Amino acid sequence: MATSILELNAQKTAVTDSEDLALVRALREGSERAYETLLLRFQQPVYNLALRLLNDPSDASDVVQEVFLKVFRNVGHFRGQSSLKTWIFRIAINEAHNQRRWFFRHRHREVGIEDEQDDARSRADTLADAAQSPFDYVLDLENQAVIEAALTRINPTFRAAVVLRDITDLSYEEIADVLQVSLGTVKSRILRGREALRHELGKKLQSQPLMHWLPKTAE
Amino acid sequence: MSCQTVLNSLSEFLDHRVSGDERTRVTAHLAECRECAAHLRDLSELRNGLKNMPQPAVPERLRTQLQVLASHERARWNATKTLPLALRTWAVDIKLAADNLMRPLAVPLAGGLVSALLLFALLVPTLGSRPSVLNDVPTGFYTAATLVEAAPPDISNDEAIVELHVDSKGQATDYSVQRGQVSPAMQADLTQMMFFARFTPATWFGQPTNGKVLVSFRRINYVVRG
Repeated sequence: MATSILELNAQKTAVTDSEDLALVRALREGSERAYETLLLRFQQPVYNLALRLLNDPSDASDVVQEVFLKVFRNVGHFRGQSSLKTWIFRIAINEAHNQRRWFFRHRHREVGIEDEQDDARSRADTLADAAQSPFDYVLDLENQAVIEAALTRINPTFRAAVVLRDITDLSYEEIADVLQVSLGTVKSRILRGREALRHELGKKLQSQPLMHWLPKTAE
Repeated sequence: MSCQTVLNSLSEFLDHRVSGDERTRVTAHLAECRECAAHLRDLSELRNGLKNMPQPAVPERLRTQLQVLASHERARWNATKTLPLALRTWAVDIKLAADNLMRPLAVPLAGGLVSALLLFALLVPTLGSRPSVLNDVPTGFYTAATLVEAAPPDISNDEAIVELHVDSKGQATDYSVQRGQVSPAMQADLTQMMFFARFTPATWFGQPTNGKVLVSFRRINYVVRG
């Protein structure tokens, strides 16, 4: 069974690789459709990744633009040694890192005055399931807010590994490829990132009265 | 299997990266150890929470910006695919850069040039040599007062340089001795001379004004022999 799963994964990877190479070839030929396809495939995951790493929609938008600019300009140098996805994610991670470094140098002294209403979205717009009950909706909001806040407080190195694994859903090998580190380092970072998150969430829950919403039969 | 060992492998266990005997041992430990089982439950809930986090949609503005970016980059890429196209693109780029550089300067440069030419045209008539006119009074300058006529004074033995003050009507009004000694006799001579002398008054922009005239008195002895 395990062998068949492995074969299936290998087959899927091979198909993806051939799709990637075809897409890259089309990009090099300047096909308009290829540019559109690339955007359609990767703009959402790259934006999510940047947003989770930076926790700021405006910075995330800047990073996404920089990422695609670099992708378009360097697609000629893409040799197919890694998958297109990990290559793009690697660029995104580096750009997010640069953005964060720039932010700590400059932006933390600034006070924004512009209205961000254009990009602002209500939380309801971002929920996957719009048909849930108001109770679930509020509970989801609380959980998500708590997790998001905890995510911003952990070390950015561990955060990148956890985000790539649990939110972007990359495999350990892909994460190692994206972060350009060994598999052992990836395992360590994911473990330490999750433990740090658990610790942060534990602190948060201890500081607030616990509420358990468990279904119970009336006595 | 110790709790620490299990805790270190829980993250991978959760991701189904632990297999074989080790997985069996971890599972057995979790069945016995409530703390490690609770730890695994926490991690599992945490991972589910992260997986179920909403995926914020890409803002519409960003989508548009990316499409514009893709369009520009595609045009740029297509323009550099062959050498003639690349050369043409570079030529256009250089021309555009030059235009962008010169356009802000064009209006000030043209305005300055036209102004300079206009001023030069206005000044040209004044630069040429004027025909000299006799007895013409220069109007743009100061002219000093001059002695026109004076009665020969009865000069004593004194030698002196005297500055005469001449008013705008050409009359000497006062004097001051600049050098030498003036005896009482010579003072009388000077007063007399001032009374009868005629001066051309000094002018300033063509108008008569007060001025000064230096007059030197020196006795010259002629010795005639023979």
